[in-house]
Amino acid sequence: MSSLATSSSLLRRQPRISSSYLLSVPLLTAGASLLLLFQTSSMTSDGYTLRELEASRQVEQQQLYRLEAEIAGLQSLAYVERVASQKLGMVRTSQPVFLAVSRSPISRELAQHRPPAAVKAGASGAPGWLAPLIELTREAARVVSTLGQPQAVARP
Amino acid sequence: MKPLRLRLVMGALAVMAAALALRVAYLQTVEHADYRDQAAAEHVAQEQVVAHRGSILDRNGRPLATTMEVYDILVRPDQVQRPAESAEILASILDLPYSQVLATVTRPEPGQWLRLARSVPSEAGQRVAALHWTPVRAEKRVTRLYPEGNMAPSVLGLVGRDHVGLAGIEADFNAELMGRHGTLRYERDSTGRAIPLGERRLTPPQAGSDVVLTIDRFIQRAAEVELDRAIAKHQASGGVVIVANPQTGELLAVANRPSFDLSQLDLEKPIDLALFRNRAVTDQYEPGSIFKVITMAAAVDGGVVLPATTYMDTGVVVKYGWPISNWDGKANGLTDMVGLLRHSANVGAVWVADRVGPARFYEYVRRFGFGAPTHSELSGEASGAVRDHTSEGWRPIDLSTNSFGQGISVTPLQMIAAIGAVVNGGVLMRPYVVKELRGPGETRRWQPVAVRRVISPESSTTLREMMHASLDGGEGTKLASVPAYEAGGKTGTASIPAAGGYSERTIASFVGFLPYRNPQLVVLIRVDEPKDIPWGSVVASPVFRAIAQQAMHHLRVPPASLVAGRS
Repeated sequence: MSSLATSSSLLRRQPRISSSYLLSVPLLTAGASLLLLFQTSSMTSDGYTLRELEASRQVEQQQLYRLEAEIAGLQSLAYVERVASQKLGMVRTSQPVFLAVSRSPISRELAQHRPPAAVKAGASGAPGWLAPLIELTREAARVVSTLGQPQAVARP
Repeated sequence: MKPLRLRLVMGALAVMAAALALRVAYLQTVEHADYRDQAAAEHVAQEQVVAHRGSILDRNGRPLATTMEVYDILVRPDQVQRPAESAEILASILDLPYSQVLATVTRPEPGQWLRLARSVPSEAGQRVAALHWTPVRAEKRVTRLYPEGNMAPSVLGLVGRDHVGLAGIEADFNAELMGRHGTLRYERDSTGRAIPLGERRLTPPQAGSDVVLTIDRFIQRAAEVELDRAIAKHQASGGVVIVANPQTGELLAVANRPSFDLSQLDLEKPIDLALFRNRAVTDQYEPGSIFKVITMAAAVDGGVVLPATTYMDTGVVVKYGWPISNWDGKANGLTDMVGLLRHSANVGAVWVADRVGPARFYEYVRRFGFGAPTHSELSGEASGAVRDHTSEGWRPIDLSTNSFGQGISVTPLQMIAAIGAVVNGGVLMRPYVVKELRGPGETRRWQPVAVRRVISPESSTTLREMMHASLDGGEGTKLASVPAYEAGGKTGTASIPAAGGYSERTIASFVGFLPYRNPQLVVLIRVDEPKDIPWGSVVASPVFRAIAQQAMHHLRVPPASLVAGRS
């Protein structure tokens, strides 16, 4: 008897589904459909954008090749010679003159000098390498002034 | 009866259903793959993505051949709706005169596609394609560009319309230059356009490698200009110039004439295949007096003669019943070995060859690389023809004629490699033209290859000094002297063999090197069939002088006086 009473109470509860619940189902379904639609639309749009970007990349790549070829053409010997002779009025040299410039030990030392990689502030607030550089510049000027005339050694 | 009829109908339906099921099963299993492919072909498109062909660069990385995508613009005038408006738009995109475009789009040629513009840059071509006009077509193609113009055509070679190399480096290194093409598979709609959300699979192309040559564009240009000048001056039929580094075997310039024009190449026209030959490696010739250097090298290294060794030059010598005379018929009297080279005396070369003997002479000839290809990687290389004392048909007189470069065939490349060995300290270096292969992932470098030692360093020094001394005051060799530099060299004038003997036609040649104390360059010049003067000393020597001078300045080799002053 008790089991019969329970099943009958269950049967009575079934029709008590609220109308708002019934309304929410299609609304949720419609919402999900709209979401899917938006997603699909967005993906389609992104797909087209991707294709456009790929095409644009190809165009840029081709333009890069074209510019490289153009640079090579502008650096070609024939072009340089044409510009030099026609625009700049240059002429081919018949015989260059070679000069032997003697170098003193001090000038060799100067050539080897390099400023330090890291700048250290001196006691006076000036960079640490500046004072010796000024000194070396003075020394260089002195050496250059003592150098003799360049010696022409080319054959006639 | 009724149940029987019903049963019959049901039975028939069952049979038909079974047949249908069997047919469906057959299509789904046995013919499944076929129908799947048909469906895929309808639905899936596949395109080849052409890989960018690698460039050919000179030794300093300057492009000699490179690739670019261009468009040809075609128009069908009878389908153009508004000619004036269309012409205006096309003219602005293609940067062409409006009148020219209008003339093409209004030409009365119904049913014909006319070429409006050729080799249009890719961005302009794609703008035309984006118009989607039915009567206008933008056809994409890949073209090979030559920034330096028609430089070293026989070395570079050419590519066909299918982007496959047909000759020269383009053919020899086609696989490396071409790279690997990619594929693009995508789903398409009924109009053939790609479905944005459809399946899309791209196998990316792999760009081709760049081939870096040992050629120096500056020296190559100098060689071509000077060779052209000599050919024009002497109305010659052609010629070859090779410039090489004797220490490494690197070829710095290889000029051939006649040749084809890369910048004017039209593959639609019939082509003369003879022009595509790299004559520096394919053509054999009798070297003439240049070969006396090899004879002298064999004698000096073999300890048979010294530079001061003398012989009595009577102007003519009879060998095995055949008279052999000097080229000028003169008797030079008591002559040393330097004098032999200076006067280019045939009688003297015969005398030296007799002292060396056939066995030793031909051993040296072989060791210098004659009679075998140099394996320079330049295609079509000939071996030359050397008939030695062990060969069938060899006669003792052959030793005499071979000693001054007759009766023996060599290629210009073999000759310059051998002279390189004479002057570089005695080691035969393998000539090579490809220096580097720069791929997307790896770089492969070629190293100099010493084939073998041919003569001792001491003999090489002696021969360098002899060739330098012989150039100083030799027959017409003043024309070869390079201002401010000390060079060595040897002239050659070879008669061209004809049926039963030799013709009146000659090959004028010169081989020289400099600086003679420490050779940086060896230059071989061959001018074929000069019409006015036959002598190598007059025709080929000035070419050496001009090329060597420019090359020395370009390579910043200090003049001899500076070097002497420094030491």
